[in-house]
Amino acid sequence: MKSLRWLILGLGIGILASGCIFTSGQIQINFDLDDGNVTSTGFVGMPVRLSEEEEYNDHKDDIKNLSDLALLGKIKNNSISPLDVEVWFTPNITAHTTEAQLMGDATAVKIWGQFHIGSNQMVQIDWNESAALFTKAGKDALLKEAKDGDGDFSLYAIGSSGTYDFDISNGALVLVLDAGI
Amino acid sequence: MKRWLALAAAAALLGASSAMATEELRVGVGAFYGLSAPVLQDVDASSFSPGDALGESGGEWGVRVPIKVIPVATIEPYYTQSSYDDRTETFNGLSYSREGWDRKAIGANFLFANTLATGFKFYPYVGIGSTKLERTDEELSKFTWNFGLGMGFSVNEKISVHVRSQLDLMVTDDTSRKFGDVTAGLQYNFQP
Repeated sequence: MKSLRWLILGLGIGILASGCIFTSGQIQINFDLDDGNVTSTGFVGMPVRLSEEEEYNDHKDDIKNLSDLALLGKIKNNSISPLDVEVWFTPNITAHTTEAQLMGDATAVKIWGQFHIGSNQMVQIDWNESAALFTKAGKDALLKEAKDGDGDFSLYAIGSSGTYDFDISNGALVLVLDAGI
Repeated sequence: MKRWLALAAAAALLGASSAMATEELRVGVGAFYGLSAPVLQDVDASSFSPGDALGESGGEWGVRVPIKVIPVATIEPYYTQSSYDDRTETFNGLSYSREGWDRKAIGANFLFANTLATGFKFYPYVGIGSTKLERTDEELSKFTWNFGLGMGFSVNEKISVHVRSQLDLMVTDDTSRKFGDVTAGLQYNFQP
């Protein structure tokens, strides 16, 4: 019986040390993105205002990590040249309209890509493929903004090189946050 | 937290080893199959209903080796694996599918009953282990706690049937990924 007491004590200490692992979950927040046309000479950012999402505000103080994320939607390449799309992030709502402005923004971080599309093709982004295209820097930047920032930021889709012309439609940002509940 | 977990494991091992020194060793082997589902994972909080607490389920199977250490308790090393179905959701008007995890876990449970004895048993248990989650381009391995309730009855001196429900908490720093399991299995006792 003395041995049983040691066992129960050991397991009990371990369970108590586990803290809030019981009262946590993975909370998914979806944000619809505006449709738009992107060219090498001009584009508009896609503002994301998590601060307007009730579930984000309810759990913001309890966010611990980012467990999954994806950028989804359809992309139509309007050019006869193949296209590689990448997505950049600025931690504030910004209004850059050219690549030069975006690259001149010291806070801009490439978060996703490259996503390849053939000439004049329209492609619906695959959820699994999209999740794998996020960069480490991108995940860190999004987590920092979600945890420590105001939750409002901008996304910019651009071509990785040369001239490009593509449309984005039915876009969505899907974030899965590790959080206390 | 690692220091606390090491202390817990040391205390549990101390208890088990000193108990094993005084008891006749009895061993069995068991196999089980059932269902497993993610719990409170990828929950859309904006439209949450209690039914959303469980994610896409999958089949689970595994093996256990129950070892009697003291009259009222059993230590049971285990190996188990599950494969969860893909999840389909609609975002901004388009439908998408996310690949489900493959889960493999190895560890040991401590059962508050001698499941190697004949008769009807109803027993709680707790365990520790290591769980690996895998899907394309993604892998996660973490320490895991298990908690469960089991029920067993003997068919004869050598064979018994066990039904269990279990909650697995895969510790991810300050949070956890949870899985709920319901399994049924057969156990063979080497000593009558």
